[in-house]
Amino acid sequence: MKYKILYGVIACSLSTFFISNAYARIKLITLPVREHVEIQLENENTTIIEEERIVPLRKGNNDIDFSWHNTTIRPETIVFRVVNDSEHNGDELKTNILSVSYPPNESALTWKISASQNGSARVRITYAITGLNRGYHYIARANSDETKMDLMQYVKVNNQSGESFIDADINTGLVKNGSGKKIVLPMGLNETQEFLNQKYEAVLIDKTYTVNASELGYRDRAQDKLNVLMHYNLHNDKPHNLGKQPLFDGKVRIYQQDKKGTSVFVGEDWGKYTAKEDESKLFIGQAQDIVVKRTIERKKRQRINGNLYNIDAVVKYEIENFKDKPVHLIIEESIPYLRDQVFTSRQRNSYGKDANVIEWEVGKKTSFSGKPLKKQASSHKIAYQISLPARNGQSKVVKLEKKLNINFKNEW
Amino acid sequence: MIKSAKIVCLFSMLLASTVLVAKNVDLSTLPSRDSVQLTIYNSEDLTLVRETRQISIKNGKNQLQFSWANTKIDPTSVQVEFLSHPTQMFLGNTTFPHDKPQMLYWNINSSVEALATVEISYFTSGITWKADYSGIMEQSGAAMALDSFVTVTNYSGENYDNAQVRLVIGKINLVERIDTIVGKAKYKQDKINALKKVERAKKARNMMARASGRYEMAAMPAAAMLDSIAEEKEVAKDSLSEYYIFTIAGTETIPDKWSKRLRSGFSESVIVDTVYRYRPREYGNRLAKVLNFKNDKQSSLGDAPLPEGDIHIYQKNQQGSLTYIAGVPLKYTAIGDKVELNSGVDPDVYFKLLNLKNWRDDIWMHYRKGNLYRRVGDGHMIVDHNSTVAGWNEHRHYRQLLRNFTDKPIKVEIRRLIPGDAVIKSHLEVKKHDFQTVDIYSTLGVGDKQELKYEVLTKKGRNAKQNQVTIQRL
Repeated sequence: MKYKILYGVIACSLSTFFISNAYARIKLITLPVREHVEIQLENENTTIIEEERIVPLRKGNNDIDFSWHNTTIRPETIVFRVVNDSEHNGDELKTNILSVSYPPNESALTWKISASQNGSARVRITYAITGLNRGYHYIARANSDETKMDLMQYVKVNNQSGESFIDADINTGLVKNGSGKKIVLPMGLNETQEFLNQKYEAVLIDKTYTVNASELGYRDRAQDKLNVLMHYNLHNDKPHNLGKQPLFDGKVRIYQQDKKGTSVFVGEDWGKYTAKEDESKLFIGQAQDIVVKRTIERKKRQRINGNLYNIDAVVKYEIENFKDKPVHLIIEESIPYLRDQVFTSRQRNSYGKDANVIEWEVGKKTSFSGKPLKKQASSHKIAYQISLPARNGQSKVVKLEKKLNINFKNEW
Repeated sequence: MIKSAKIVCLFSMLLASTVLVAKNVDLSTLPSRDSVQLTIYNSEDLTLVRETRQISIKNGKNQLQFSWANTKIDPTSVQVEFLSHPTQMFLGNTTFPHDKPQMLYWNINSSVEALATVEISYFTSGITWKADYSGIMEQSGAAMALDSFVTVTNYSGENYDNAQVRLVIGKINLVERIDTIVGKAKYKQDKINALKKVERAKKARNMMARASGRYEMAAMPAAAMLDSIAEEKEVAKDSLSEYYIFTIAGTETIPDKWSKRLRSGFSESVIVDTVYRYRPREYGNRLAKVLNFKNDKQSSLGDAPLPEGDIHIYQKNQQGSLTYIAGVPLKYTAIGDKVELNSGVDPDVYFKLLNLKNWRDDIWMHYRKGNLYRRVGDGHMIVDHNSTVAGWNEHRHYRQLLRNFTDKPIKVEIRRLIPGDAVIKSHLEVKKHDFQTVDIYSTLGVGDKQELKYEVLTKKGRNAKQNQVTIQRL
């Protein structure tokens, strides 16, 4: 089947129309070719095509047909502009768009354009099209000590729009930001094009090991062993050699350089949309060589009066690092999760009480050195970072014991 | 499918008899339309059609047959008036034959023999119009070229050639929808048709076949040589009672099942005021970039209300091409009123809401024995394990993070719903929107970073004395 956006100027038309299901229209038309076409992928939800053509006009009224059979143009978005261009339009050529007519049962329209004299007009037609979508994906190459990575952002454009666009300027918005070059590619029908859109070199990353009983769960619930998840933390800002534009969501395949200098695939994750100045985590797998056991060592209710209590809770973490290098471990604790573990209440959501409003403070029995991590801190979460020494050869692994003391106040 | 039959205004020269349906031999003339005017309402599927025809009327009794098979005309609305001879010709009665629902006969008495101009008016459904807009913003985003369009679509089953088109903005009251009335008539027609014999059905099909096929299309002429450039049609805008009427200059031909779009207005430089708003009830849980402009003279608008319709907004980029910003509905906007268009999230503005800390105080216990209330910690508390919490204050401390990565200063408005007896405490500019909603205002320069801090105190249980938020400036 031949698909094509037909676009014609009726130079001479025998405008006899027959009424039937399909309107037969006998016409002699010229077909001005596309001089230039641009595919705008900047808007996340809407792809825009802007094409430029040189249209011969006769003095007087001209009918310009534009049809898009078997394509997925959104007709309500079509904009027709005559571009000021004295070379093609001439200084004296003036045009007016008089009306637009839409024939029945056709993907077509006709512009009625009045021209002040014979001549050619440079026109631009802009429209939104569906089925021409873009997706982002990334290749990340981390160095051997996992402190830096090269991040390549690829754009994959899939053309299921029913129309081909030869030598189209593909605009992903980087040209606007002045940080990218113009990309010209043929977008054939049903074709997919993939290209490197941006390369961010030596992006500073930090690898973290995180436990969180509420959000990340247990590796072995019976033995109270938590999942220890590994992440690369990306900071989309200048100090980390990013921050030029938001990072769009897409799959990130992560490779790491081994000691021989070759790349090894170490995992992949769906990268979330990361605004400038924001940060995101790439989950790269589960650490088996770090063991964290979480137990509630103490929960003591102190009645203030009637049904009003303060609760003193102590969570104990027993941590062992079986790796042969030191690591940083982030221990996160969800405050609502812990509160529900240490204090059950039938009145939690009754009598206008908001269960999410929890009054708490860190107690004196906390054995973490240093302050809680500020970035993870909120009214519902507390986090500490600790350094775990490396396993020393075949000797016994040092077991660290840390305690988190939370005092819940005024619960009922 | 055979094209629907046209409205036929058939002038029958009858003899003295007024009995209509017993005749088998007719002599008919088919006077054509001299003019037609369409008044299209956008609030209902309703169009008032007024057409004039020249008809030879003889002295004495005359009969006019008017039929509208396969169209969507309201049979109860069809009227005839004698424009040229209002005192000499009058309508005696109107007969609706029982076997032909989409037909009527006018019995006319005339005291003269003359060529009369008659106006036939009726309501039809199937002709609609809608407005739409196309806005192209300047690269700076401070102004926008706004094109307004009206599109008329004809699905009435009838072709209207060279019709004067008037478009009505406003909500009218109808007790019965035209398409319902037409549907009833069609049901009756279908029932009658089902009872006809094969011969009669065949005859009917032949009649319909004759009615179709005579279709001349003048809407799309070939290139015409004119002495000067044709100007866009003016759309005159006028008010009538609570309504506005857009009248398109000259005439338009809108064949059945066609649509036609005309520009109804253009403003080269509409001043756009951009505000970033966090209003979860209106724009969802995100900071929306809202484009505001006024339908007033300063924006080269304000000559008429902006009818409801979709608006597609583009922005010129450095390459001179257009970038798509948003396609959103534009509500009816009265003269002088403000248009607010949500153009979505701007990736160049960072926005995050954090709840940093919560706590409770001013806790009151209720003692059933004696029905007493005592505040915890004030030294007069009675120890009673059966007492219950009866009142307290909740404090929530928020921090709203903002960063402006755009190349111009921005205005930010944050609307927070704070139900109950509450107090918002902040050093920020906070204004009350209603009894339980406040607006927080801020501006950020290029590259600025801000932390908007505020505390919400909500009185609960017996502490709550009212249901409204108050503002406490710190």
